Amino acid sequence: MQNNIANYEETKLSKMVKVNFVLATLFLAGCSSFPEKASIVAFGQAADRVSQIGNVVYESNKTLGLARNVKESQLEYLQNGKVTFGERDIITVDQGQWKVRLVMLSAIGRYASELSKLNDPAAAERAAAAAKSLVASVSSVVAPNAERNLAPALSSVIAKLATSNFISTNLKRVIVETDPTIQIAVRLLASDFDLLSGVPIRNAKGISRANISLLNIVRTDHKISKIELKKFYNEIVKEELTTASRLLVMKAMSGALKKLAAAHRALAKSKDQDRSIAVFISAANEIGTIFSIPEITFGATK
Amino acid sequence: MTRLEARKILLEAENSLDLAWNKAPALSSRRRNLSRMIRTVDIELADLDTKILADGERAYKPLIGNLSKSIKDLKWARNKVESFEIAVKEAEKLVVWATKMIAIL
Repeated sequence: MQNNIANYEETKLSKMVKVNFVLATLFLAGCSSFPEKASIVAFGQAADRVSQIGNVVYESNKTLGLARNVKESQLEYLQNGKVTFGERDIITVDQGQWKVRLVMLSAIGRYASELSKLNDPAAAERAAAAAKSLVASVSSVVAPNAERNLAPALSSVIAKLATSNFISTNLKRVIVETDPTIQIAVRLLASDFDLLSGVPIRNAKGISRANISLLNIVRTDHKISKIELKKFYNEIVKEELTTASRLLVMKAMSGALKKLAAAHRALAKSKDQDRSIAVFISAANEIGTIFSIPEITFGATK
Repeated sequence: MTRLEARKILLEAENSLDLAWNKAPALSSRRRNLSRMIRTVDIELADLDTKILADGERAYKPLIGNLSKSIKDLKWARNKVESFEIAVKEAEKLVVWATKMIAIL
């Protein structure tokens, strides 16, 4: 009798250990992270950010064109007394051409944003695998009556999990199949941004030339005190610094895009991901830092 | 002459004019004239850049189409992962139930 009780207790304990083992496996599977998950999210967030900066670069380009007009108009007025502001065209590349590039950049941003929102497919798959082994274990330990009650509920869960390993395979396929598109798009965009930034660079030079002439004119006016002259000089220096930072963003844009392409290639090839993504994130952060200066705020230009 | 060749020549002209502007005496009429010439060259360059960009515009259309498909596929994958996670939570509930059953047995 005592032996029977001992055997019963031992069997019960063994069943408990078995189920607890399955529980622990299920818990660990849920907690473990897909190796590429962090990389995918980091890439997605940085790429989304770079795509948003494209709009700011466009606005900045218009601002520089307008600023050049204002400066050259001021100079013309001081030199000849002629008002020319309304007659001057803003020197910029056609808006429609900018838009085509911004739409492309925005599509990359939406794709990147979707990548960054993805839950962890591998964790879901591992949890699904643990759940499948759970069925076998539970079926072997519960009483026949209980098993009958449990079976429909379990089979419903298993039906949902049956094709789970399809997800990460599918996700990987999307990244691999999208890579050539990203590579071509980024090559075109980087080259076009080099071209697009040419106009603002020349506008910035125009602003500098006008500022130098304005400083020269003001300095020859003997009615202006040294204190006023210094104040005017400081204002010009501040303007020049703002212009320089706008140009920095434009110059950094094509470089950041090239790093975006390299990081995506690394994701697709599952090779050298950490380094490529770190380089890209650093480039995206660099642009973000330029935007943190008071004169240029992220998302809009002042 | 291609547009890119024309652009290169205009850029060289702009650089030469800019150098001349720097060498000209401050507030001289020469400097003023050079500023006007540079502005004219800059307008020409902006027009040329627009034309060069327009030439490459068509290349973007299929790429945007490809990305739209990828975005759709990613949304599908996200929905699937979410539905599997719900299923796993259901499985966890069943485990708790089964554990209670074993304790009773």
